[in-house]
Order: sequence, then structure tokens, then C-alpha cells
Amino acid sequence: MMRASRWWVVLAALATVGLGACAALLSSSKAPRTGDRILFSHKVHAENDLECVTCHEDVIDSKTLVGMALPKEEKCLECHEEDKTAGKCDKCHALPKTPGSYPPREPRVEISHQAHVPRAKEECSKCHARLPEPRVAAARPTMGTCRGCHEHEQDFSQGACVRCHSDLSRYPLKPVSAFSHQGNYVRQHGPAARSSADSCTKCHEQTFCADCHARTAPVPIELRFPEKVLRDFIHRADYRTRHTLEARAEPALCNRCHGQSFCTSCHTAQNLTPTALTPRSPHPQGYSFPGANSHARDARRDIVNCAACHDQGARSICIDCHKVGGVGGNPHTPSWLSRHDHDEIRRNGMCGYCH
Amino acid sequence: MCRERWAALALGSWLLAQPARGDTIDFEATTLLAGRADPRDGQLHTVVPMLETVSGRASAIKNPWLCDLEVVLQMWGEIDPGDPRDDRFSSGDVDLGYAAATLARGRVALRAGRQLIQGGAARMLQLDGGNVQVRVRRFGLQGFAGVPVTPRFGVDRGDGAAGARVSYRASFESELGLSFIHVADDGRVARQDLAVDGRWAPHRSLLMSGLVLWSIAEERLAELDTRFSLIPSSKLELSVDVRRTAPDLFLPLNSIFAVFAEERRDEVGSTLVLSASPALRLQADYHALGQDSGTGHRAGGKLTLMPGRARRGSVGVQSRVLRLPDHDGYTELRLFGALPLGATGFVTGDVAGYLLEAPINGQDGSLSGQVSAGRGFGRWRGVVSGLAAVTPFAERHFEVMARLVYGFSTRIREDRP
Repeated sequence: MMRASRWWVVLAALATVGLGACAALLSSSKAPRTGDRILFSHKVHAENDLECVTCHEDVIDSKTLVGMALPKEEKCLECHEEDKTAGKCDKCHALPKTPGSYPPREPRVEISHQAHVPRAKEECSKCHARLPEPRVAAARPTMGTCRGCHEHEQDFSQGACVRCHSDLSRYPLKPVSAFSHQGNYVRQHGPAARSSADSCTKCHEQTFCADCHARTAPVPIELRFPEKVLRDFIHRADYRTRHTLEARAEPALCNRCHGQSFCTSCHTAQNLTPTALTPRSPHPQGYSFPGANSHARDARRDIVNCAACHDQGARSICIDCHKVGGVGGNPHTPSWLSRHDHDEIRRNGMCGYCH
Repeated sequence: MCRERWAALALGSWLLAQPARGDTIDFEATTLLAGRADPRDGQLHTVVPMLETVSGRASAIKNPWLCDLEVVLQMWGEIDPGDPRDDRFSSGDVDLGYAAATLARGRVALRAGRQLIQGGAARMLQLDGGNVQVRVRRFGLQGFAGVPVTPRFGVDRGDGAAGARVSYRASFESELGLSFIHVADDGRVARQDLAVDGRWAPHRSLLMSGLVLWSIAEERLAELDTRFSLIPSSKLELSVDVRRTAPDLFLPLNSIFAVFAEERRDEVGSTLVLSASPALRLQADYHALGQDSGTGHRAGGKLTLMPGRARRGSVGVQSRVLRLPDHDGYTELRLFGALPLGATGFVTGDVAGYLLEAPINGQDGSLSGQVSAGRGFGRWRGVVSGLAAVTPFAERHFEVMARLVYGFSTRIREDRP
């Protein structure tokens, strides 16, 4: 029968979901969202010799993109009052029956128009090359435009992304050139990340890394995301069959994440380790003894493979034969003594297993 | 369940309540139900884990003392009414649970709690502890200390770990670092490594990166990893990599198995990625493996076609070959595809077959096929998946999985004009 205290795990999970849901309800916006869009032609207004600041009058003093310095309805009505009175709502609203305001947009870039407008001598087109039209999206200023200024080039070279990008983890950009993620990046990202961890974190939160790298992760990522068929996940498809081959091809790769105790736990369930209930040997006859089929050569070549079943610390079966005075003789490599003096036997408790 | 784990769960629940005060909140709850037959020594055991994962992040939390304050939590709880391998009906853990903030205009970054330490000699270390990073102009200094997290199904990875990394960043693409890590277990050295890592981009189209990891305790090279990439355009990427590892040094030094061998493994190879057109991508690689027992080979190719203007769907074929020095290995052939259904729906298929050089349990092959389908409903996303396989361990193997995700992202501050 299950212990009652174990239900607390489930209750804790439910409680956290509840707390999260409460947080969502408390924080959600109360403003109605109708799905409406504002139909506005910059081209028509520019042809009528209207300056940008005529409508975007707040832009000169704006220090952030919060609100985007977009004109409110009163501003439009200064010229288009008659249209509203005549009920021509569809002139400006995509959904005239349920008119709304601009869709809420979260600023992705930290920029002060107050500082930039005078530098651009009020020529907005220096950065805003193409403005949005009812059926044409705006061409946002490129990062190359920003880096055209010496100050921002310096920010870029120092990796000071947050000076401009408010949250790259929420709105990551497509990585290019040196940070290109092409090919089998699952396999290749390690070397890149070792000296660029700081750069990686500009876009990737730790939760992203933890899906694979957390030793506490409950299920492998392949089980969690089977639909991501384009990803080169390591344990995809029938990994159980080929895991011994992959492990022998690159023993260190497994140990980076798992450690030999991970292997032992499964191998014990398969009755492959000496500590299993009914252990059986997968080795050829005579493997334990000196000779052609001896384990010695394999141990020298792939000790990680041995450790996957036999690392039980002081109870490892290797010790039975290889301890001082045992029939197995000295197992150390020829160069061992050149790096480890005899006094280490006293200092290192592990040596005491044999010595 | 141990007292520490209960404390971690309680802390996690409390931390998740904190996002309500945050300026920006990201929350995701995943419910996953899986069912499969687990072959153990010739017997099939049914495993039916039911998993709840909760992930929350509150960022830009306003407070008078610290900048960019964020609280991150990722935790899970599982019950398994089937026949789990470890005979545990329920389990749970915290993957991440930390608070982070910056000081001095972002020059000093602090992080405390359960976290991942990245980079240099630390590789990717999951740690209960603290991390401090100081960056002054082009120079950086990082220090961390704590207790390595005990892996699932595993024994503890040490009583304590500490390390540091100093770095110089010449540009966004170029950085040089010197790092050190010391891991102690039962009062003995489990790991003591010194590393030099670097990235250098002399030109936008050329990138070099590398790591040299030196085991101080064993006075031997534990790892050398270098990579040269040529990216002449966004359509072509060619890279050459050279690696040398000492696999035995990836065992804890306090393991009895650390005294038996001095292995060396080399790998040299090249990778090509070619985007012949926006709809067609080719990927190919070859690597020679040099081990004490001889030379092996690893090679592969992948062709992906993404038809349509939106490039949402894809179909591809992949093949991989692994040949080990001892005349063992496999050949893989894989077909995969993804078909979008409406704005938020999809169906994917994945068939993989393996031809084994040396039979396992008298079988020289393995075949598996998996179909998944999913759709989004507002803040909800659902995926169901089924897998059928014939493997050397099971004549007929089936797996099913259903995943339901509820996620939202919101700002406390209202941005509407």
C-alpha cells in the first residue's frame, strides 16, 4: 500500500499549478481585445504633406517604446471627425462592428526616440525605411542600422545586448554567422557553449538547457517532444539497441550527463550486475582469468564500459582479485607510479580498498 | 522521500507564488501521460508514468535594491501506478529553482539556488549553490560554489564543488577563458580540472573554437576539442573538428575504476551543411575514430525538403553509419516528415531502421515507427504520440504518450496606448 505521505508529491504539484493559475488570473489584462486592426496608410498621409510628428507627437519626448508613441483616436478625429459621425468606421477599423484600439505589443527593443530624433535631424526615414500600410508590414530598422553608430558597434562587440534588446530569451533572433545553429547543432553546441555561455544566455534561459542537461529531468527529451522530427536528438528511436555501440564509440559522451550509477541502475534490473537478484554474466567463458579471452585488454581499452556494471565502490568485484596479495596482480598502468607516490595510500581512502 | 527533497518542493511552491509580483511572468504546466512495455531480462513490465511539470519565470521584478531580479522555477512530480524500474510509486524533484539579479549597471550578476553552471571546466554542472559573475569592459570573472545535484537513478556526485573562470572578450564572437573546477566527494578529489577555452572569429565567415581540459590530479589531458568553421554565406557551412578525450578521466577520480586504465580516443572529421534553396537542405558529415583498439568511422547524411511558401511542413531522409574498430556497429536509415494542419495543428511521422553488424539476442536489426499529432487551443497545446517497434529486446514494442501543455506569458504593466 502506498504511503500516505507520498500523496504530498501530487498535492505539491497541484498546489503549484493552482498558484500559477492564480497568478495568471490576477495579472491578466482586463482590457477587452476585439481582434481589430487599425487600417492606416502612411503613404496617403505623407502625400498630403503631413509630418511624422503631426500624428506621432509624443515621439520626440519618448524614452521607451512603451505605447509606441502611437496617436490616440482623438488625434485622428482632428481630421476625420466627419467620417466617424457618418458611421464610416470601416475606413479605419478592420472590424468596424467590434472596434478596438491597437493590439497590445510588448517592446522588444530599448530605444529612446528623444535621444535619436535630434541625431537623425528629424529624418525618420534614416531608420524607418518602409512604413506599414494596411496590407504591407513595416520594415523594422535592421540591427545593421543601429550598429552604424559607433556607440552601438561597441555595445555589440562587448555583448551588451540588453542595452538595446529588452528580452532576447522571449524574442530570440535568428542566429547568424558565428552563432549559426545549422547542421547537427545538438551535437555541436557543446564546444561553442563552453566559451560562449554568456552569449548563449542572451537568448536561452536555463529552463531551455535544463530540458536535457538537468540531472533531475524526469523523462528524456525524445519522449517529451516526439513531434520534433527535425531535431537530431541523441536518444531518438530504438536507442536501447544501439546504446552499447554509441557508448563504445564515445565513452566520455555518456559520462558527461549520466555517470556510471545511471548505467548500473538499469543493468541491475537486467540482471547484468553482480548486485542483481539473479545475476548472469554477459561475458565469454574464461573472461575472468588470464588468457586470450581475458578481461584485462578490454579494461585497459574501455574502462568506462566495465564501470557501467561493476562500480560498486569498495564492493566492486575487481578488488577481490586485484587487491594487494590477490591473484589478479597489480592493475595499475605502467605510468601510474610516476604520478602517484606511495604516500597517497595513506592520504586517499580509496586506495585502502586494495592496499 | 528525503527531508531535503521535501524542503526543495516546499521552496519551489513558495517561489512559484512570487511571480504574482513580477513585471513579466512566464508560466507553463505540462501534463504527460505515457505507457510502454519495459523489457527487463526477457520479461516485459508495464510502465505508466503520469508526470506533471511546472515551469515559471518572473522577471524584471521591481524592488529598490537589485536590478533585473528574476525568479525561475522548474519542478516536476510523477506517479507511476505501473511497474517502475526503481519500485517507486511516486517521485518528484526540482530541476531549477533560483533567484538571479544584477548590480552595478549589470556588471555584477548574482544567482543563488539550484542552477546550471555553464562554460569552461564546469562543462554543464547542476549545482545547489551560488554563482557570481563580474564583467568590467572586456574582462570577466566568474566564481561558483555549492553541492552538485544528485542525478536521478544515481548516487551523489560529490559533497562540494567550486570553480572559477576568468575571461577576456575581444568581440561578441571572440572570447578567451581560463577556468578551474574542484569537486570533492567523501573528502577525496573526484574531479580537479584546469581548462582553457576560446572562440575567435577573425572574419564574419570564419570561426575557430576550442577547449583544452587538463586533469590536475592525474596530470593528463582529459579533453581537447577544436573546431574550425567556414561560413561563406548563409547557404553553406563547412567545419572541421578535431577531438581527443581520455574517457577514463570522465569517471570520478575517487572511483576504483579510475586506477585501471589510461585511455585515449581521437576523432577527426568534417561537417557540411548546404541550403541549396530555401526548400532544400543537405547535411553530411564524416569522422574517423581513433581508439586504442583501432580505427572506426562515423558518417551520416540528411536531406530535408521543406515545401510550400511558409516552410511549415517538411519531409526528409537520413542515414547514419557507425563502424567500431572491433567490427561492430550499425547502419541507420530514417524517414521523417511533418505536415501542418491549419494554423496550430500538425502530424509528424518518423520511421527508423537499424542494421546491426553484430547481432544482439540473435537479431541483426531493429525497426521503429512513430506518429504524433498535436494542436493548439489558445493557451493550451495537446500532443498525442504512438510508437511501434521490433527490437532485439522485444518482438513487439509499443509506446503511447499524451502531453497537454498550458502556458501563458503576461506583463503586469499595461503597454496599451
